[in-house]
Amino acid sequence: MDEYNDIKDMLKPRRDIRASENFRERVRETLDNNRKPATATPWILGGVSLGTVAAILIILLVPVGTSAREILKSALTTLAHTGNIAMTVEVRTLIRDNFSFISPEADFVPHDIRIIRSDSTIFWSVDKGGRAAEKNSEGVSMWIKEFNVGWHSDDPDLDVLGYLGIFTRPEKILEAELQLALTENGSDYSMKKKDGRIYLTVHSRAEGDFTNPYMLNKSIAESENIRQYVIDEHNFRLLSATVSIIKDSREIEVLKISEINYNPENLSLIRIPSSIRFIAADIVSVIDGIPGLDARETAAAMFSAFYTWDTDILDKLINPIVGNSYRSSYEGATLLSLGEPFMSGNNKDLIFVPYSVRLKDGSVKSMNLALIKTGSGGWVFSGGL
Amino acid sequence: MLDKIKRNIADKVIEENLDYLIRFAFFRLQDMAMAEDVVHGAILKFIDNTPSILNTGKFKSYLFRMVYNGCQDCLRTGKLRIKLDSIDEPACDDEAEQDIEDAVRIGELLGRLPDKEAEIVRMRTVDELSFVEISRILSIPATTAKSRFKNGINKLRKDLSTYKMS
Repeated sequence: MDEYNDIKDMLKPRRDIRASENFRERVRETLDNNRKPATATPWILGGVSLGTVAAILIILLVPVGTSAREILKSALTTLAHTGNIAMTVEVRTLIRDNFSFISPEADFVPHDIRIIRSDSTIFWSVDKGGRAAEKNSEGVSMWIKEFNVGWHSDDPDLDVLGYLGIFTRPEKILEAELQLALTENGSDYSMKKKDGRIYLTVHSRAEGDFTNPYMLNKSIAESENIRQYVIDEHNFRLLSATVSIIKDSREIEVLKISEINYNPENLSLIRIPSSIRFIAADIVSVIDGIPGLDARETAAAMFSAFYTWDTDILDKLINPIVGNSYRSSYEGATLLSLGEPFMSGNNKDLIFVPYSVRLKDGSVKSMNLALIKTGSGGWVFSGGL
Repeated sequence: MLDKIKRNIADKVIEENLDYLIRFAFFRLQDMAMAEDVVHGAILKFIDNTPSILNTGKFKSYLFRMVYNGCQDCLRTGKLRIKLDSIDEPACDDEAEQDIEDAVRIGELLGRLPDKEAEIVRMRTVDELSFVEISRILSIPATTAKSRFKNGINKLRKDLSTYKMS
């Protein structure tokens, strides 16, 4: 590659260009001015149950002795040296749905999480029965066993777990909370020490726009939630964690670590079934929608194409492998009505289009089609069939 | 809470990448004042629309994509059509002059390639971005980025050898 190096040298600037001090100052001012004023946190008086209020008041009144910042920094240092971990995290969710999805009405589904460390590399697998994901030396994969379909990316940072991803590195949980502690007026946490344990409680409001509440309480981030961590005071290992959401003035536990083992013997990642047909995540991302069509028109085009399974249209809107998994249900379907598209939740690129279709067996199905905006402004299928 | 964390991470990503962003914009626009304006505009948009994913790698690519789009807008709308030598500009220092010469020289070299290939070669060599980062910025598969890079380098190599022989 000497010739390539020649070319590279020709493309190399003689000087390392840097932002000027004036510009750096201009950016600093912009960042400062755009920080929203931190709000006082009246959450204890919010919709939390009386029992919880009492418990939290006790926590707040107990002298802490050590600041959250100090404790979390110590914990970070210690956990950075943590070895392999096996844990079971139980979440109220559906077994095949996205990892970020929660449903307060659903039963707890155990998630088998395995974390393997080798030097500075961390691999993990998460299996919740119907859906599993794994990060190994070849990248990140996620699959749905029942459909024998999966997605794979070489990108080791690909986020497929949503909030749950934080459990693949317990130190990340504390890092995230440390970020909060270091934020000015980051006062919506409390802590106490008791019997050699540190109890940390953090409260968050629902993120996003819920003018239409469709996505409210569909993920932890999109819920008003309380996260509680129990940490060993001596070695700073995470011992347990729970997350509750506040819904209709009730506190509902939606996530809990029921088991956590540090350095278990013979731990390995889960085995990826050989029957899974993987789609390259890069290929999914190049499906770009139909130029010029808004979300409602895109939904109409997609359902119309379902009738004859017109792949000229469908291939622009939905990955063929994913689309084929719906073919037996939707081929021959007739669109009955489309509602007004709406947005809800914390993803500004996601839009929902209410629809009713008559399936070829005569049944009528009414749901919200989720479409996501592409880089070129088109819309493509994201869920809701 | 996550909003605050994201904001902190976003601020950190901006601060850590400021030099790279300025360089990125400057070598496209060949004008430092314009580069600063484009980067500043991108930062404002970035703050208003911080990505929903708690992932510093994606924050970085998202920010570069905004600067890239800002540069493309400038080039497309002709905001840079005033030639530097056509106005009575104040004398600039030697280093600034050298930077502009470099930007022009690199621009001319890459101008021999089709735009799509030139862009990838520029991002990989001048901006020192990885193929994964390039693929995120341009919304193309990493494999496409790699093949365009290879094609571009091969063409430049061929041009270079022709130039050497002539």
